[in-house]
Amino acid sequence: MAEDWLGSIRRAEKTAIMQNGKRKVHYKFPNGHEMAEEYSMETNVLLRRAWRKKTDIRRPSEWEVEVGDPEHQFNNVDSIGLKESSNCPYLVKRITKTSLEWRIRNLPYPPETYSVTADTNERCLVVRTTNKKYFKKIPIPELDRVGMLPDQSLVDFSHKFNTLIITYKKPEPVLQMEKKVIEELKNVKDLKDGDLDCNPS
Amino acid sequence: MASITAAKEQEVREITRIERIGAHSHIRGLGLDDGLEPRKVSQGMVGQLKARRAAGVVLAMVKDGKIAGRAVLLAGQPGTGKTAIAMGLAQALGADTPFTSMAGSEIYSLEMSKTEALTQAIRKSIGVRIKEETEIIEGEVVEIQVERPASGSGGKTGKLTLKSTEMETMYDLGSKMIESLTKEKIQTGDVITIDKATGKISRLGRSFTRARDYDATGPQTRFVQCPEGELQKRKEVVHTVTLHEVDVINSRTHGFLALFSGDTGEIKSEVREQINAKVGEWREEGKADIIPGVLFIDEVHMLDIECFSFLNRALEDEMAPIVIMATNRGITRIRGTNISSPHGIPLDLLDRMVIIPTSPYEEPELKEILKIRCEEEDCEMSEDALLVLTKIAVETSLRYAIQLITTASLVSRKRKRTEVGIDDVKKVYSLFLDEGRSTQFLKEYQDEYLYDQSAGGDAAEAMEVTVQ
Repeated sequence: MAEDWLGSIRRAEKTAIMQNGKRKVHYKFPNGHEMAEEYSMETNVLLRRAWRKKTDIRRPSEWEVEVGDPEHQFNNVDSIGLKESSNCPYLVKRITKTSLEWRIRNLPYPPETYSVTADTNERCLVVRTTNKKYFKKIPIPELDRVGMLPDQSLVDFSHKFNTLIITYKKPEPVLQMEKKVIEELKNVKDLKDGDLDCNPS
Repeated sequence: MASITAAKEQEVREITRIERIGAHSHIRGLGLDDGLEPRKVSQGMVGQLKARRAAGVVLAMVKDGKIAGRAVLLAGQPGTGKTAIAMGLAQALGADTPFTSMAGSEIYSLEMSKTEALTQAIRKSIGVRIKEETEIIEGEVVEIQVERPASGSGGKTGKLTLKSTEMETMYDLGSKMIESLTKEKIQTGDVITIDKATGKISRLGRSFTRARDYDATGPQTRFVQCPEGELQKRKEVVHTVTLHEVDVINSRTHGFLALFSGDTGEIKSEVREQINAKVGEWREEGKADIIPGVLFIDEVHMLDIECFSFLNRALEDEMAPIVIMATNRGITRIRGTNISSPHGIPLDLLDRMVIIPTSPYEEPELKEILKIRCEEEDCEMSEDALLVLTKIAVETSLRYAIQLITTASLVSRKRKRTEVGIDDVKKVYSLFLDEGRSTQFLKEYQDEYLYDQSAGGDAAEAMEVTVQ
């Protein structure tokens, strides 16, 4: 599993570019999936990561954000006439040097309402509320990529300003893996801004 | 009980009213019973018992899905219900089996070659059922609020609250979703799923917690458990796409320019081969299922010899659909040659077909059809007016008689009458000529029309004027 992730990163077609103090990397995998990442240039920490999965019969879908702020959605209500209300809880994932962090915004209930458990069967964290208002299974792809199961002792959470903050301390193998990926990305040559070749057909 | 079914019928008609009325919109099926025996008058079909029975056998063959590449020819005089039988077959096949209807002359286009047009039509008639993972929202309806804007302009907005056993979420609604929620008659306590990609709503049933609301339950109400876990989940759904749609999507991603030409352009044969291979692969893996459908070519005598020989070969492919053709020609020239052949179709292709003949309608059948059309066009007609109309249909043609229905009803409405009487029919009969009377009229006054041989000089003069 561990070699698999690193291997697929190595095999992917990579393009990198520096913009606004971030290093942006685009991956194109042999199976047609695409991944885009943004790294901070000072700390080498991953700021955003998004996926675009290829389907066989439909048009390429929207980008799905795995890490970082979600994409803005304009007038989404018009496309199918349904949108989550703007004061609904939503989840944002962040990565820091030492831990993985999730923030669930718009959760106004008192702190004793929440429980976060590590589910080893489903390989995810489960957020529950005693008043049955919110429930979420949070997958942890970082652990999957190194073949580890979530561990309850590494989970911590707090509630502040209508936000539930969950932190998961990165275990050693995850840190190792991040280092290896960063090493790998050093081999990718950066395009200069505006250096993109434009041949539309 | 009878009144209930009547009320139901009314309700169904209410919905279909939105559509416009076409020449064959009264047809709702082939009018066969379970043993494929035709009923005399059923589902908008009248008479033509043998042909309908034969179409029923073809229907069974298509539904079976094992036989590929058969051709059926519906042959008969104009106005004997060939297209009606094909439409009935399409209705009887249901929404899941692809049915493509085209006219023979549709293949002549400047944008693509004849064979490309035929290939596209053939591939539109083959469906692939594919399992795909999509995101759906599944939950029990807690509340629906719809607000009309006070100004009266702008779309409706609203809010929908859904819950599962673990959570509750509020959604903003746009006018499209409000419309489909009202169409599906979704109310508090229903358990529904919404496909996030398409916005399609399906109702699973009512929640068990609502089982005590006796007044809101009917005999067919199904009770289901409130869904568990997250409201939004990924689920495998099965849906049907045609091979042509798969072609178009895959040819688009290849070139940037393909985006601009849309799906009218030609599709490369390599793309098709790739897709055939892929679909075959999916089928072997059990991911996809192939549903052969029906291609209906009306006015098939308009195809030329190249198309016929192409069809000959295309029918041999194991992915070929069942092709139904219709023609009203007798022994005539095959387009593109000087050879005459029955129905204008080459003998080798005719040899591969089964031929279903249709025969002219008898008087009682004509009356029945006119009655159905009157109902379809919302026109009350008195018994003797209907008799006169039937006489007209016998003497001129069924199509002409059908044209007179709405025109007569408009005349009667101008006279402020509730029912169309004989006078109205007579009035429109005198206002509008049928083909026979028009021909006779032309023959009588031929000398006075332009461009007649006898008035050659005049014609030449007229030409010169138009040239200037």
